[in-house]
Amino acid sequence: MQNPYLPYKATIKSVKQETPDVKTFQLEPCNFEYMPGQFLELSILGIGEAPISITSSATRKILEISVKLMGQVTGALHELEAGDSVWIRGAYGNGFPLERFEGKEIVFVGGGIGLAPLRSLINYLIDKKNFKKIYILYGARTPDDLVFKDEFDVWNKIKNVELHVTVDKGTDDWKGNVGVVGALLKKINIAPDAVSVVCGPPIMIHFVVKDLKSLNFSDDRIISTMERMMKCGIGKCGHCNIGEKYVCIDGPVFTLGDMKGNREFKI
Amino acid sequence: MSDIEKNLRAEAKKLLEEKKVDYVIGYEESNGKVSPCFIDNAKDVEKLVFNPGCVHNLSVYLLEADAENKVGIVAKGCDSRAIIELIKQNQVIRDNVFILGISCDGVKDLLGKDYDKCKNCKYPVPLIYDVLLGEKKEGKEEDYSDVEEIESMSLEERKKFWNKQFEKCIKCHACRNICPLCYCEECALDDKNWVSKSHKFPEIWMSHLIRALHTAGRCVSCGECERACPVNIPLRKLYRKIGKDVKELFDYEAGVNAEDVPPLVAFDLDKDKEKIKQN
Amino acid sequence: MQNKIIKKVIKKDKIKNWINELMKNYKVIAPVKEGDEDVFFRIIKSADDVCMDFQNTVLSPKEFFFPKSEKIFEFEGDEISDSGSKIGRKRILFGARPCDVHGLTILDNVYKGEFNDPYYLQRRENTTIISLACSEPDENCFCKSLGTGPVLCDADIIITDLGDRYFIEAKTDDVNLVNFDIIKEAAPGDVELKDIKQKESEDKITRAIELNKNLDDLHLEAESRKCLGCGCCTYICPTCTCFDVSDESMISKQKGKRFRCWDSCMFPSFALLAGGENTREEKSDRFKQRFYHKFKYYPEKYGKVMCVGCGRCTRKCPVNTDVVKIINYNKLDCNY
Repeated sequence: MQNPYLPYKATIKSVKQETPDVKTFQLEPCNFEYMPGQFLELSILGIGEAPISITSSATRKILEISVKLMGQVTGALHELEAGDSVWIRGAYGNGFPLERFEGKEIVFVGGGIGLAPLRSLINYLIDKKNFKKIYILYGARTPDDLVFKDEFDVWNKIKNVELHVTVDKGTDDWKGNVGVVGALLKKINIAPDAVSVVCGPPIMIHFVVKDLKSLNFSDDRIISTMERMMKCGIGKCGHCNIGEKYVCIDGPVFTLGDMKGNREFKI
Repeated sequence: MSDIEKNLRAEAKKLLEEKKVDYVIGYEESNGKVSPCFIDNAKDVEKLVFNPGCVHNLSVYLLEADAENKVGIVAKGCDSRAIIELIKQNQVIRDNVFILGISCDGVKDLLGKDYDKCKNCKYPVPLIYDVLLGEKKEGKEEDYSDVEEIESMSLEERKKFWNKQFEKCIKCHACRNICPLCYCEECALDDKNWVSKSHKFPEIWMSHLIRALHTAGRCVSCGECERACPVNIPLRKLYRKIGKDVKELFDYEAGVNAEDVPPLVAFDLDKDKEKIKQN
Repeated sequence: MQNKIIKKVIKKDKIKNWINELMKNYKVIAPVKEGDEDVFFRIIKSADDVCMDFQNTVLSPKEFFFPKSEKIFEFEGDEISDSGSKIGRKRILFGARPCDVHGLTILDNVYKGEFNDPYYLQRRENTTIISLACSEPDENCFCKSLGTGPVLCDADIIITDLGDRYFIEAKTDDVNLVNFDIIKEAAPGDVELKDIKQKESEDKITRAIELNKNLDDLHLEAESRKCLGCGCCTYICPTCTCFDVSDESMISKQKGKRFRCWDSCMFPSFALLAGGENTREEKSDRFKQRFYHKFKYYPEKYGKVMCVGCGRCTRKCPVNTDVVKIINYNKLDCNY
C-alpha cells in the first residue's frame, strides 16, 4: 500500500529574500505535479511539517514557495540555503476552479504574503492566455513588506494585466498609493461578470469582501483560499475541519457561497 | 433534604440577591449523578445539592474567574486547602471569593464506595470559610501507609509498579486539567521541547514526574487527579509521596495555614542544605 | 460467494482451549484484568490471562488499529527510512464488544477514501474480529439507538453467553477458526436460547439517543462551562480519529523520528495556527466542535453518526458531562 505520509526529498535551487521576513524558495523535486491554489506539506526533519501554498505556476516548469517566518518549521526553513534539502509531499487541495476564469475579467486582491497563492494563478492564466482582463490589487503594511516586487514590471507590461499597489504606511521615498487594499477597487472599472480572488490576513478579507459585496459581486464570484491548522493534508487528522468541510481536501479554495452557512466560518 | 443543603441554598440565595457574588459554584444533580454547576441567578439556587456524590474539587473553576468577578464557592475540607494554596500563590484574591464551607462526612463513588482520601481524612472541616455549614468535627490522624507501601518496595519493584501504571496513560491530561494547583498558563507538558507528545517511554514518565515535582509544596492531596484518570493510575500515591517528603524536609503542609510560606519560596540553599543531606 | 453463517457452541470451560488453538497461528488481542476491576485489551501471552467477565474494557480496542503513538519514519542526516507500516503476524481481536466493533467501521470511513491510511488499513485487514456479545450492558449504554446493539455487529465471529456455554456465529470465511473438536454444532435449542438471551440483553438497554434533534448552541455553551478541557472523552472514544504529527530528534536534529499520536479537539493547541491565531479560541468553541463533528459533520459525509453508544465518555467524564443528555436536549426543557 502506498504511504501518503512519506515525504520525498527536494533540493533548494535558489533562495530569494522578498521582504525582511519572507523568502521565496525554488525547489527541485523529481516530478511534482500541481495546479494553482494547491499546497504542499513541507518537512524540515527533526522540526516538523507545515502546509505551504505553492506560489509558482506549473506552466513554467518550476516549483516555488514563498514563506513568511511564522513558526518552527518556517523558522528552520529560513535558515536554509541553496543546495540544502527539504522534504515535501503533495500537491494537496482542490486548487482554484480554473474553468471559472476562462474568458473572464478577474480581480485579484492580495494582502501581504497572501499574494503568494494568487501569483500561482496569475502566472498560470497569463501563460494560458485565456482571460479577458486581470486586475491585481495588492497591499502590504509598508513598501518593505511588498513581495514579488521584481515581477511588478513584468506584469505591468502584459496586455490586459493591470497592477495597483498600495501600502498601509508609506516611507519618504514611497510615491505610490497609501491606504487599504480595498480602496484600490475604486480605481478600476470591473465588468459585471468579473470573478474575484482574495487572499490575505483575516481582517483584510473581512473588509475586502464587504467592498466586493457593495460592488455587487455575488457570493459565488468571491473566491478565497483559507488557512487552518493542518497536520496530514489528506483529510485524516481532523485539524483543519471547519464546519462540515476539511480545508485540506475540500479546500483550501472556497467561494464565499461555499462557506456561508458554515457554522465555524467567520469573516 | 439535609439541613446543610437547605442552608446552602439559603446562603447562596442571599449572596446572589444581595449581589455579593456574581455567581456561585456548587453541585447539581442530574440522571442520578452529581456535576459541578454555576448558579448565576438567585432563582436557580434550588438546583444546588450537597450529598456524598459531591466529590469534585470546585476550586479549579476559580482559575477561570475574571479578576473583577466575585465568586461564591462550595468547599469541603479538602477543597478548602486548595483555595488557601491558590490565595498564597497569588492565583485567587481572598476578597473575591465567598467560601461556603461544608463540614464533610466523606464522599463516595457511584458504587457507594468511600474514596481513599476520605478514609483517613485529616481535615473534614474547611480550613478557610466565610460561612460554615454543618457541625465542626475532628479529623483523623495522618496516615501515610499507602505511600509507605510503595516506599518499602525495592527500586526495581517500584520501577516495575510505575511502569505498569504509566503504560496505561493516554495523555488526556485530565489529571492536570482537573488540578486546581496546576494553574500555569503555559504548561511544560504542552511544550514538545520538554516532553514530546509521544506515549512511549520515557515521555510518560517525564510527564508525570514533571507534574509531581511542579506541584511539590502545592498539592493538597484532594485526589482529583486520581479520580479523573480514565485509566485509573494511582496518581494520588505519587503526589502524596512528594507531599510526605515536603512535610518531612520542610515541615510544610500545603493549604493548611495561610501564613506558612511555601517551601519553594522560602528555600534557602545554605540554611537548608544540611537538612536535605540528612535525607 | 454469499457468506453463510455457521452456528456452533462451545462449553465455557473450553474457551481457553479454543484461545490456545487460535494462539498457535495468530497474535491474539484479548481482554485482560488489571487491578481490581479494570479490563484492558492486551496482546496475550497465555489464554489464562483472558477475562470473559466484564461490562466493557476501559479503553476500546481502537489503539490496536490506531495506536496512541506510532512511528511514521526515522531519519538520520539527510535520509529517511520508512519503518512504520510493516505487516506483522495475522491477528485476532478476541472479545471486543459489539459497540467497539461498530466503532472500527466508523474509523474505516475516515482512514479509507481518496487517500488510504496504510497503517490503520493494514492492521485492519490483518485482523479477524471475534466479538463477545454483552449480557450485562450498564445504565450508560445506548448502542441500540445507533444501529447496533449488545449482540449485533459487523464482527467476523460473534459469541454469545448462554450460561454454561457460548453460542458461536461465524462467517464461512472464518470456518477454520471454529473447526476444532471442542466446538460443537449448535442444536435448535441453542439457537432459540441465543435469541432469548439477545432479547434479554437488548431490553436492559434503556438509554437512547434521539438523532432527529438539532444541536443547540446556547445549551452547548452552558454545558461547556464545567468542561475541564481535558482530552479524556476523545481519547477513550472508539470513534475519535484525530491525530497530531510531530518530530522528535536529538538536540543536533541529525537523528530522530516522525511519529503520529492521538490528538484531541478539546485541547487549545488543536486549532492554533503557527502565527498565533487560534480558530477555536474559547473552551466552548472546542466543546461544540466535538458534538458537531460527531453528530452533524460526520453524518453529513458518511450517512451515520460518529458515536456507537458505548457510554465511555459519559462514564469517565470527570465532571459528568452526559452525551445522551446533551444530544436529547430539547429547548422546551430549558430555562437558559
